[in-house]
Amino acid sequence: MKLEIQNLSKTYPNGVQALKDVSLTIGKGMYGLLGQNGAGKSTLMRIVATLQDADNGSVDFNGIDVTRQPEELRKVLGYLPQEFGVYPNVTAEELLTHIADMRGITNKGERKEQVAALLQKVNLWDVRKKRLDSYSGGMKQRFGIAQALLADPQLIIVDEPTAGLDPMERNRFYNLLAELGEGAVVILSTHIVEDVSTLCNDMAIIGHGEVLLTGKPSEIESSLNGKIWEKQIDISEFDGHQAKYKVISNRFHLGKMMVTVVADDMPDGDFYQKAPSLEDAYFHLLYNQAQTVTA
Amino acid sequence: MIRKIIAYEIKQRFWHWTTLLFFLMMVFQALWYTKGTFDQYVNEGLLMNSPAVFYKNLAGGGILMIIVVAIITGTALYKDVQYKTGQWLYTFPINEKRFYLGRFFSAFFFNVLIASGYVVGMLLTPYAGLGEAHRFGPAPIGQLLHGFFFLTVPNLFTLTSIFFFALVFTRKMAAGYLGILLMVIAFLVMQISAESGGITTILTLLDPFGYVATDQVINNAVVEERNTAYLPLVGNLFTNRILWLSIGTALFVASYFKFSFKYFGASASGSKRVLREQKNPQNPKVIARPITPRLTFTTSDFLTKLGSLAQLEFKNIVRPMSFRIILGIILLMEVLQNLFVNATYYIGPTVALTSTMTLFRVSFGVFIMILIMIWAGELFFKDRTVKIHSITDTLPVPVWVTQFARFLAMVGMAFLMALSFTLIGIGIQLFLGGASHIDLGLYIYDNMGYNWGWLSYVLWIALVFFIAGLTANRFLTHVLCVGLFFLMIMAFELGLAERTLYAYAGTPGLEDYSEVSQYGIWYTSALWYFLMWLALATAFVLLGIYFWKRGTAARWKEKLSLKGTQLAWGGKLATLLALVGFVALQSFIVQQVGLSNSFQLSAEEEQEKADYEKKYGYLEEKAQPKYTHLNLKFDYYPEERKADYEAEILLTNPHQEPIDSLFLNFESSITIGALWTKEVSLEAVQRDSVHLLNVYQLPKTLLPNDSIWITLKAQKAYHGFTQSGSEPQPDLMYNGSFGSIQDFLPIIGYHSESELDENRSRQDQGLETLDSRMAPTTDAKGLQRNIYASDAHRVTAEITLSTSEDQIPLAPGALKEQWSENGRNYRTYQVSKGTPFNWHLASGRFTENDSKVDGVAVRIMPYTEHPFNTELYEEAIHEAIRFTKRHLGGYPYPEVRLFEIPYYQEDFNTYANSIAISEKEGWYADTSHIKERAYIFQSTASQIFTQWIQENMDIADVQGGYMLATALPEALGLLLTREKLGEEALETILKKKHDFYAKEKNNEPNTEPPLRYADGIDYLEAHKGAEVLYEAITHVGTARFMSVLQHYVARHAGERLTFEGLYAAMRPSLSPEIREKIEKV
Repeated sequence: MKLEIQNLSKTYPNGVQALKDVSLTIGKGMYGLLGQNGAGKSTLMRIVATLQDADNGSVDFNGIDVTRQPEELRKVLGYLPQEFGVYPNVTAEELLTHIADMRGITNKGERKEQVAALLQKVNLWDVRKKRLDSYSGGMKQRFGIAQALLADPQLIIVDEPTAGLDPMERNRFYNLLAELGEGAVVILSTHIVEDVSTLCNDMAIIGHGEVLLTGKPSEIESSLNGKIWEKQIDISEFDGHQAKYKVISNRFHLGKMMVTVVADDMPDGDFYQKAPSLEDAYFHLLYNQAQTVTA
Repeated sequence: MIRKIIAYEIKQRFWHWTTLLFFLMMVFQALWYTKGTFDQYVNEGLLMNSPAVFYKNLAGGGILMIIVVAIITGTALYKDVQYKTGQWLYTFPINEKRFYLGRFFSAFFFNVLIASGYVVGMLLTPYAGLGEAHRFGPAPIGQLLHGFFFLTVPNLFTLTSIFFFALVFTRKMAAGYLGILLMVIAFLVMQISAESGGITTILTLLDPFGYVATDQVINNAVVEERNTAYLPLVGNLFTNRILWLSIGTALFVASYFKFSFKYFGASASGSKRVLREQKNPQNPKVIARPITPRLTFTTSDFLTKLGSLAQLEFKNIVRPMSFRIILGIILLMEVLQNLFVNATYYIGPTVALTSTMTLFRVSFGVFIMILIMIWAGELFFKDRTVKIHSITDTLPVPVWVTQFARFLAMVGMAFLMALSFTLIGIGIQLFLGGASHIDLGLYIYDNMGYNWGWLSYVLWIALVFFIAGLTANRFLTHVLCVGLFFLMIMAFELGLAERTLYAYAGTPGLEDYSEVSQYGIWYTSALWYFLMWLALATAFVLLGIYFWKRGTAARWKEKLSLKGTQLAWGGKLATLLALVGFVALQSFIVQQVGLSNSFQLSAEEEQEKADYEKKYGYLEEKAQPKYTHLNLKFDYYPEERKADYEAEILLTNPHQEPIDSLFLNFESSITIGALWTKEVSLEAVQRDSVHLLNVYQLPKTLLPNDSIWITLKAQKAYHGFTQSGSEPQPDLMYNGSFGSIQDFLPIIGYHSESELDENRSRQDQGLETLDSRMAPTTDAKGLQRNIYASDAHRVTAEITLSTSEDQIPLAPGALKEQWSENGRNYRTYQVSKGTPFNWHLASGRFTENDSKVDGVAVRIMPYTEHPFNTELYEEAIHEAIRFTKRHLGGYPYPEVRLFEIPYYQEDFNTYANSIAISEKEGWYADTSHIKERAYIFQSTASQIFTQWIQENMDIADVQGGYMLATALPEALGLLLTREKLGEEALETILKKKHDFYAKEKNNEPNTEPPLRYADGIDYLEAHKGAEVLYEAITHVGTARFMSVLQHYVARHAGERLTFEGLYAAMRPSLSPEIREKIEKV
């Protein structure tokens, strides 16, 4: 079970090059696709999900050429888009049953069973008879997750799935995805590093339409072993530090600014070494890319 | 603040490319409408850039302007919701009421700015090549600005107010569009109602644009006023302006008070009541993993899904309250129309016949069709509107299942609507006690079929489906579909298009149902047209599926590529076949329509007539023989729309010069089998197949007063079918054939009826303008001619007709013999004393009702299904015959026949002892009120007096001729009506005639003559002429007038009589006022 993306390029009519020669091979399990907003993740997801055509390149899933046989791919696809709506006048159960039917579950009993199971899994069972236009944003998102999991898809694409979920629901969703990842190719597209680090065995970082890095999160993290330094500074010192050091990120902790710097040796005595995280690796990559663009 | 907002908004829009586009659209519309409005008026001296034309343009507003207003106004306020800018903008320290005013007036001013392109366009008309230089006068700038400020600007204000009102109160853009749409529909309904049933005060007031009221004022203006005057803002027009400006202001004020950031911003932030979840996160219900479902994707599965999806979508359409409310309103309108306003013609309401019930689908057809199209557009884009398409587009179901299911759902919804119309119609018929008139076949054909019924709705839904797939844009789909629909209507209304081939989903004759002949040949043509449109609609549906792109919209290049997979090769082939079928059917229709030369563009027809006059005008002076006797054997074959006949014609030379050749004009569709004299066969020495005139050399010169027998064997048959309701081919129909005898026999010599009689057309064709449509009273040739036929004086005849077993053949003269043979009905009629040759032949299914009065046998013959008013007709005939005996020496024939004919020809046809009256002149009228009874009584009695005049007076073909032939019997009819039905009955008819004259005189194509020189135009002799003569007779006194009349007739026996002569005899007894009415306009 493998998804192969080869040399995929896409340029929009307004000249924006969303994807530049993207190639990825994704196997069974959870695969994280990390990138900033506008990096090209959603374009890539839409192309894989048969919603958009690429200018060049190919996408193949288990022998299915996605460009030429979109209808074949749709039979094994579960897709949760970044943004979606629902029919206002129908209930969750009605719509999910309808989508199950469209997904090919023609047996009424099986359809009912699947719908019931998924509604319970996403914690919408109690409100299944309520009209969807009365759902909160988080409930709608969970509904979206449920529909993506209908019919046991082999390829699951979830685009920014945890947006709008509270921490509890997010955990529940993580569990659900992890369970599914055992038997399917699951692509998790997100800009939230934690989602990837928590769930994925493999990942790619994408920026400005290009694949910047691929690998296992742990390997990516370990590539910066001994090189990540952190220091608490005053806000007024930030510009100076930025000019002086390779500051890849900054954050606030208890009202004080913390800067993270990449350096082979300790930059100065006030810095302390920190165990690298996936987030550090990600910011480091973005930093390098920004420097390349500036140069 | 307000000024800043207005300035910012206008600046933002002003430099956008669409502003120029909209402005140019307005300019284009001005040119287009000016030509169309000008062509609607036939006045000779009307200028194309006259104030009247411009005022009508401005009041109409135009479809493009409405669309532009909707676009501009739509975004003015809603953009903050649409683009969610309201979420932060509404938190600014702005006074919300001032903000509202700023946005309102920026939209309004911008609408006015764009609409100024309309004025610019009208000013450009003289330079746009729309007509010759003499058609234009100086630019009426004052009147144009006057109209702009009193018609266009208030209309724009009202439109803007309605849009803002609907938007503010519902916080939905669709409601704003609906508001504008309702205004347009109200305008169209009032306009169409005014055109079909006449302008009434209620129509002038309910028209939101003031168009009908403007039309009313212009109708009452003479040409000089139309060319120069300012539109007087008085009466209904003034009330209309005040009314709609008040409505606009009230809505504006209401929305002003309603608008607040908090209220309106609720939709901007998308906040609404949401469910409060009762979570139990610690103990979620854990269920065993369900079994892996079996997935199947067979064609059979898809077909099952198609059915279930269609059902689901159908329920989604009809479940919401909004659908029920709208359907309820439509059905209420149907109830109101069919109960109270089912007037079909000049006369008034009718009995509850099925055709009057199904007419609703046409009179409200525009409204219904637009609603269906908008519903369809909304449904096809439903997934995108609610943004679920990013999920549904990835489902493993082919597009043909999801989209075609929606198409089927719309088809079902349209069916429900058409079925509702039918059930309501039947209900009303039952309520009115008309159960026996229920014609289920007609209900199905009209309401459920392709005659602007359910199947027509389906065709339009297919078009929406196609455009939705093509554009992938909901708004653009609505604009294109509704715009195309309006464009089509306006193009036909304005005469810019004439071929039904250009009217998508249009079928010939859909508004032209006759209770006598039903749809006749249009059953056939409508079927072929429908098949043609069906082929196109099939292609539309397939292409709609093909173009429908899942996910992100594709580029045109990709969309139009044949490599697309949305349709399998079978589908692509089917599309190609459907398109080929469409083209093939179109070619077939063109060929069929051409078979009987039944269709000509009006411009071609005009050209042909002008050519005839130029080429054969000299024949008017050429001596030609006249009909004096006719032996005719005539066989109708109604089912084949064919007649075979053989006519022995005795021609006499009444001139003082010899005649050596015959110039015979034949109608098209006549095949001449043979033409011979007693000695030899006649062969045409010259044939003009364009103008259908043959020249024959006589075997020997026909000397003055000599006669010659010629025999004609011919067949007239219509082949193919006609393309519109204006070509019913009424002389040979399946039932109710009625045609002039000269639709079959040749017209000898110059055929003056082929002349163009409207001066504007004559000028266009390079012909001299006419001072009068008839020869002057002193014209020697005219004084020799009979007003009824140029090629006959008084003719005798023996006519034997046959027709199919279920029909009765009718001809003028006494019925001598009747028999049946070989499944056919035969009758022989004899005209033993010469009568004017304005005869007609007929065949139809009639009921014969016989009676006798003063020794005269009276036979009333309604169509078998129309026994309603037979007694009233009989009473009118009896009373008129008695009146004739009392005052005019008696009715001239031993028997009289009155029968019903389809409404396609003249309303009243009187010749020899026969009277044929159109079905719409009373045969199925509701005569429970005096108004309708009086009309039937007077108009029927007048025909008896017409017969007396035809028999006793040889009327010369000069000016004033129809004062004797038409106005005089009408006036006598008025006298009898007063005598028998009373003053009230008389007054209703006099008012009707007066109103008709007042309305139509301003549409006089040439120059209105005084009655003394009246030259044969309906509004004059039959209306004003009858009214004035009636006044004259009552002034002189009935007995004295009858004496003067009889004395005049006796004194001039054997001469051609003129109105001038009778008037001279009457004049001394008339008051100066009456003299003035006769001598001056």
